[in-house]
Amino acid sequence: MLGVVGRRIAAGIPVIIGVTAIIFFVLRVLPGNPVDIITAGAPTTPAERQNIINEFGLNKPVLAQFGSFLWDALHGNFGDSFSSRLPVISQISQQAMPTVELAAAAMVLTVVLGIGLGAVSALTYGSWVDAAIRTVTLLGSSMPIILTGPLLILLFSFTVHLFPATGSGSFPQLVLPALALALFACGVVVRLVRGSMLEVKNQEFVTALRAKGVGEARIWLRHILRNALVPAVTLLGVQLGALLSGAVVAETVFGRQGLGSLLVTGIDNKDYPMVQAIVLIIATAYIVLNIIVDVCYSLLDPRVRVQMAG
Amino acid sequence: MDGMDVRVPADQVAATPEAGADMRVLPLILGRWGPLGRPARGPARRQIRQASRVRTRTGLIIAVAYLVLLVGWAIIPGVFAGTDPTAVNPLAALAGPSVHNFFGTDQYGRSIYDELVYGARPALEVGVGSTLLGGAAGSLIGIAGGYLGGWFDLVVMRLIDMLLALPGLLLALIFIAALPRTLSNEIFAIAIASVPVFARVLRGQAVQVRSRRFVDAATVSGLRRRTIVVRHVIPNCVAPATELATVYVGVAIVIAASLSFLGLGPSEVVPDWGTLIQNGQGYIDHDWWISVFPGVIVTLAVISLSVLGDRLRGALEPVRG
Repeated sequence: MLGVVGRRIAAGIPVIIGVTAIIFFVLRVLPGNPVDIITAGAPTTPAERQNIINEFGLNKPVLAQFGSFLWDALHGNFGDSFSSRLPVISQISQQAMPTVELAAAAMVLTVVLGIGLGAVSALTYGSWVDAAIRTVTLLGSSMPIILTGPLLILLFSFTVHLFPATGSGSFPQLVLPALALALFACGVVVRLVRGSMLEVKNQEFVTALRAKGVGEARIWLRHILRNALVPAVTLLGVQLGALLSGAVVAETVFGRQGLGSLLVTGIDNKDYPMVQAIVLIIATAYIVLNIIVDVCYSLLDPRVRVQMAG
Repeated sequence: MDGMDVRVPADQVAATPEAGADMRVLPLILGRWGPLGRPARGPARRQIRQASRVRTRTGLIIAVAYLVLLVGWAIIPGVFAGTDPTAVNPLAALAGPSVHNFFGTDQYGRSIYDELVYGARPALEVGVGSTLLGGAAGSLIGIAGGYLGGWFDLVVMRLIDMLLALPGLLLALIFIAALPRTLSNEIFAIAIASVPVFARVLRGQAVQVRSRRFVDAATVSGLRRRTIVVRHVIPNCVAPATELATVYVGVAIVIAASLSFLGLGPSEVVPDWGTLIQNGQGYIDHDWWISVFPGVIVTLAVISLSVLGDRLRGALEPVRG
């Protein structure tokens, strides 16, 4: 088991370094003089410009800059913000919690809705319930968050006064944005769980279980659903990416604080250290979560575990 | 054991699967390849593909009709709407949907319908432009990697994996951050975000085509590699590439609308679908039509494109099965 985790982590490290390089070089190779960004176009003397260049280490070769960025990032230092000139990490750590809450809540909802609705859909195969679930989830995954968000606000904040439309910090404020993200993300999961369950249902071992006299409830829950969960878990890892980038949009739609809003402000101000830190943190979170998903996967399916060990 | 084809051997579960691929293209990647880029076989493959399709003729006709309407809006907006979508009319501000203004008006009295009609051109430019650009680049990379194999495939695919570790919107955002806000830069940024998706899918296809008998036959009959690629490999990649491209136009339109919503869209584009939705947010409690109609227009485009993509694939597939 430990070996599995170790190998996953080892495979993830070069990807994280590569991603860092991509972000870093894109922001530097493309046109735009950082000094002009930092001074916001205000008139400066050559001496002032030189100070800024020294302060942000812009005089060093780009490769050396990348090296020190990587080294500092490993120590939790992502440089100073171009606009506030304070370490970006302090702002990021203040804003991380609302985003983590949102992503976690959305993930839980995606799992519950995706697996739950998928299972119900498979159990009621061919009925109107099945058709309704499939239509609703297809619609949900086709609607962009920028439509789902306003619609949910219209329905649950202004028509039925259930949840607040905007803001972050309390649980009721978390419900709508998490739901918007989950509606978007669960469609594919529903379809996959449904499909896998229908497929597993017809396998011989299920017939054998029935012949043995195992109860229907037990067959569906312990055997069919469990087997169907294996592909679904892999898919959830993929969906995490959609949830994370969806969260960036959802935060703006629902007026929440968080990394997404911080990122958008950072892009608006051309605050490169902020942008690269946030993108890097989100990408790393994504890679790490996928490693965790892989491990869960092997826990769920003993055959994979055997393969991994062998 | 059989029928568990959807399961992926542990060593295939890389730290970064098709991740980042926008969800709407996922059914494509999964449908064709099974989770994580391995070809799903037998019943599993059929099941996943069927799960992701909407298969009715009526559906196709409605989808195509809607897309034709959007293209009409984009090419000759004057025929469908008034001449000036930005004309303000304070007397008609915030009017609900009516015979005069199908979709109501915004806070300046501009007709939402007119703005939507005129917004179709930039939206389709971004959708089609970025898909053609990114799709061509990604497909070439994928086909080259898949057909050539070896170190080229290895190196390029590791790079693609890294790009895939950045969810689509984030990848586009890095470029948006670094470039001035113009329509062509936005097209470029979204095109880049689509490259890894196309490369992944087309590589899979090329690998599969390469192992087919007719390619072996062509090889032993002494055809040059270039001829094999042009005559056999590429024609067999056209169907999945077209399907993915069609669906991706919708994805690109959504990314562009989301960027505008975030205030990061091209500044010269007026009116803009995403900006319309964003503008309506402040009025959602009473004047819901400002946000909702543009959102519905975008959603219908996404659905229509995926219906069409699915059918195109069926029609273009040279060898079925």
